[in-house]
Amino acid sequence: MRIFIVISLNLLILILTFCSTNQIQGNLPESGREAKIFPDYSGITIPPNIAPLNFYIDEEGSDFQVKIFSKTIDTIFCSGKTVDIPLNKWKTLLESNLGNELNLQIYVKNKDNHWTRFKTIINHISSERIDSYLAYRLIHPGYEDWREMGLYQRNLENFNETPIIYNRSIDENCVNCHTFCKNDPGTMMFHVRGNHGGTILLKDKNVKRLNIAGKPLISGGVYPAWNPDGKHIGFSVNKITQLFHAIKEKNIIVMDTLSDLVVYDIEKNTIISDIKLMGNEFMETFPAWSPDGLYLYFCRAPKISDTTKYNEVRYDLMRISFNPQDNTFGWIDTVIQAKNINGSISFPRISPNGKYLMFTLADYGTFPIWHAEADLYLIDLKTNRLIKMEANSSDTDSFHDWSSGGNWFVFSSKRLDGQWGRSFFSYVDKNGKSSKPFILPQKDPHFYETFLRSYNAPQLVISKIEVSQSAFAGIVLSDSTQAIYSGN
Amino acid sequence: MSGYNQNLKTSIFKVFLVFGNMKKKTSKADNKIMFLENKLKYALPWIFFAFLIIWFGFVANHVIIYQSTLKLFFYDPYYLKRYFDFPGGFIDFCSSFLLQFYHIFWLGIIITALLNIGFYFLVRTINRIVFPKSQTDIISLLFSVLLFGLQNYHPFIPSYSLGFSFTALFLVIFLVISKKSYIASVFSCVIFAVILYFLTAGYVWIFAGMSGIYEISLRKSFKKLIIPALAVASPVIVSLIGFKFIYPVSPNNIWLEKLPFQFDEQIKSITILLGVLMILIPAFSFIKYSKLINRLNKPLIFSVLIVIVVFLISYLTFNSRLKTQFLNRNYVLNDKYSEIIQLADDAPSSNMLVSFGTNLSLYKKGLLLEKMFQYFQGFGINGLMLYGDKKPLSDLLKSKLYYDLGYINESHRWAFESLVQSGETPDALLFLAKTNMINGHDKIAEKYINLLDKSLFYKDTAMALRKFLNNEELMSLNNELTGKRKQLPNIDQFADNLEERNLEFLLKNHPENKMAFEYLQACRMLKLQVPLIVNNIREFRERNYSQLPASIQETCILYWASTGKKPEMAGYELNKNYMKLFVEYAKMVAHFRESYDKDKIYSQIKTKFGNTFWFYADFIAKN
Repeated sequence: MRIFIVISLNLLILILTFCSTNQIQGNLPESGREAKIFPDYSGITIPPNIAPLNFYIDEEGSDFQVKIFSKTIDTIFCSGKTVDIPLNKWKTLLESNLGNELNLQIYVKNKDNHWTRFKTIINHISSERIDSYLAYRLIHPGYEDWREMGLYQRNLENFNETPIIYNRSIDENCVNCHTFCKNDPGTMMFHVRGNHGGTILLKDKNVKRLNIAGKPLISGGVYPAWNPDGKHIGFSVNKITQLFHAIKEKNIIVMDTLSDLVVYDIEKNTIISDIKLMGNEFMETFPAWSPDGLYLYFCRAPKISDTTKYNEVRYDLMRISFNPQDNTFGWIDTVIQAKNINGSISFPRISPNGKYLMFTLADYGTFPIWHAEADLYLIDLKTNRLIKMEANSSDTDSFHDWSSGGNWFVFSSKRLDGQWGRSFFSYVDKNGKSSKPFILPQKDPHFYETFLRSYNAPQLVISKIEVSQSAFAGIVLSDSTQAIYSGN
Repeated sequence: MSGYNQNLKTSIFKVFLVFGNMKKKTSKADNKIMFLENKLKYALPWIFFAFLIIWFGFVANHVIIYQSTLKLFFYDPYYLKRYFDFPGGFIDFCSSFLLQFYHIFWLGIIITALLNIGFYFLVRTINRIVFPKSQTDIISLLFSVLLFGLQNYHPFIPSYSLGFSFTALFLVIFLVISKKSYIASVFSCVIFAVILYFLTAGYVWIFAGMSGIYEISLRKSFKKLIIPALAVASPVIVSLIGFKFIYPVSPNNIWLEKLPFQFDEQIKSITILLGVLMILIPAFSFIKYSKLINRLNKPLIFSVLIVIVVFLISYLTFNSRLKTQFLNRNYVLNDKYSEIIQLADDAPSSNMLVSFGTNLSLYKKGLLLEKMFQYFQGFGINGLMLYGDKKPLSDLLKSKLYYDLGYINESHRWAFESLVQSGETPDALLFLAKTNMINGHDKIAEKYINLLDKSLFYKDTAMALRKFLNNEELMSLNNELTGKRKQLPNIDQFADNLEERNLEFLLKNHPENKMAFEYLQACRMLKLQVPLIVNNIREFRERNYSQLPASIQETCILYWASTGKKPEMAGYELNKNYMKLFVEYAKMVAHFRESYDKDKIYSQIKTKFGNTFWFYADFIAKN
């Protein structure tokens, strides 16, 4: 009996030591710098509903202690080089401290058994929530053939990830271009390429498979954009080619040889366009709608010929008025001329309040994810003021998407290594100033060190997509509805 | 022989019966034979085990070699979790765990043999439970022989063997329970079906079939129908639940996930045969199987039968062409060029990958332009550079070729393509790490090195590469990586679909690139671009070739003969023997064109000139 009590007590002490009591007592002198941590969660603004920002301490030492605290609520204590923050305590801490600072106090014990207190890492808890889900495609970056890939949704409030559609369930067809109408998981679409090719459309709890390809279109639908009315989808139709560079500084270039714009009317099952969007003079791509659905923004470059140099192709930002009542187009305006900003514009995305348009600017071309120089820009649509965003890095920053509230945005950045796109989040204030971005948190902070897939085309979604993967798979393998081209 | 013995024994037995009092002596003789037969019964599985070791060690060694190059097993939470994304993930997990040991060749063989013999013992146990009064041990070996047939196919990785073994294991437990308690067997049938679905997916049907038939044979009245109904209903329900709510299974593959049906028809047929035989074991009781077996219980006869079946299965399932291909591929990736040439001499093959390996080896041995037409070149430029070959198996070979040529971006491209198609294999990770280090992309290289570090047998490789990261000084001491850096192109282009343009591009950047030069000449010969070769003989002089390689001389002679213009030889002399031979060749070709018995003349030309560029130009390239 006595032995049992002794063992139990020892075990209890051991457990308590690990859980919470292993705290540093007394005041230690502060080191002049912040501790190095990965991911870099220092000086960032975070939404109150984000999952715990687990990290590891990239400092030499034999023991590690971390205090996470704000103005109110108990401090969270963690120990060990890898910091795994308890979900419930984290949530309570954040929700109780909206608008306050979030402090990370890190202590490291060195070889001489002396503790060092690093400068407190200060972050800011925003009072604005971010949409709860992130939808993305996990793929190997840069390939000709594909094999295994899928569209996934991740609950941003914890670490749960579930497949929207995994391509092994649809005979390894390619899935891409998942897009939502106003961040609504109930109104969405994605494309399938391969022997079950088509466009999968989810609206009003109905899922159907569309075939948009067919004469006179040069391809099936490629880059999509939902009109906020939920009744129209703008598509580019593109002939895309991928080429491989020979020098070490560059890897791949993806470019269009032809492209046009069309709009699909969901209720009438018709495809409409205009000679101004399908002419022989220009290549039009990357559609985006104004929040009122009356303007279709897009990128446009002169059509290339055999003598066109690939690095001289630059896309302007254009817009055309659209009447959703009778499906007619008006006049085209130039919003930004590429030559005026010495670059090429892609991925225009307008904030839900219509104030800003965010786009990616690269030196040339149409697909900036392989351009290290690609950066994010904002244009104030009222004043035409152009803002280079603070969230940019020295590597590729592109493929962005606004949250439904318009205060947060997600984008794809290759800043960690130059090859794999990772999802980063940033807060935009009313003046268009973006906060230092933070990476999509993972349960295991070492995750990104060995994960060989890109988070492709991240999209913020208000809640979970309720249609099951098996239902989507069943539709993909079923017969498609042919969309009818109704001309200009 | 054994039949003769049996007849003899029977006759003697009858005689002894007639003469009555000699029965005791007969029993002694019989006992001796029975003793020997019993010994054989116990020894045969182990003899078969030894046979498997020898077979996979020396005959079908390509199976082990191929499987050792598959996706690595990583000690990493994300990669471990991925095994369980699908039903049957457990056998995939176990299989991948076992496959990592195939890195040590003999360990791979032992594991393969153990998987087989383990299956035998499980089937033997099932037979002993179902037919307690019969001698079924040797018959059980037949199941193992069928599994051996499947193991002879290179894509039949351990997960498939494990699928059969786990099913057999669950059947053993079910049979034991079933004999003791009906109620327990009802529950165990359902529970085992559910567990087996999660562990092995489609193999659950073997369990369902056999347990159902066993219950029908065992019980009377309505009871005999309950377990069969549950045995079928449980996998149906659990598969549908799995499909609807748990796993991203294809609607087309709800029932057969994890069964090896995606490969060739032979694998599918043998798998179905083996599965059906397992299901039917209890059904034999309906045809008085026990009595039949007891009557036919002649271990010697069955042993001979087993040997015949093993022989037949080996003959039907062993593919020597694939063996040559995989050995060749393995030698290429491990720089064993003498072995490749030896293989090409010993087992000439008309396989594109083999042709590629042979040409690369000839170059490495300085013999490409001397002897390339001594080997099969029927694939033209495809056999030189795998141009147009889209099979995943060739991706790494292309990566290797471009690595050797110094076209690092192309090497990276094909290694990456291999990663996409075949997963995180050791060779792909190695090429990706090296090409990124050469290009100075250390952060990218580090990812691949991190992964190698998470495997069991590539930690040293990872450590050796990691020390060069962000250490230019140390890097400069590494001849291989620094040598490749010196070969990096200075001017840009897009990789061309015409392979000779890529070679010309490499030479434009680095005219001293000998491999690019010789490959370009070989390319031109294979594409019959004779004037391009003949009009650039000075390029050999510029590169200090002491004499023109044999194939180039043959090209010059052919050009001279066909155009009447003597090539500009840049100071080189044409070998007079070659010219004499060409005269003879030309006469024979003229004779061939006029002759009615073309086959005979063709055969003569092939025998005498089959190793020349002339023959390639007239008879192979043009066909």
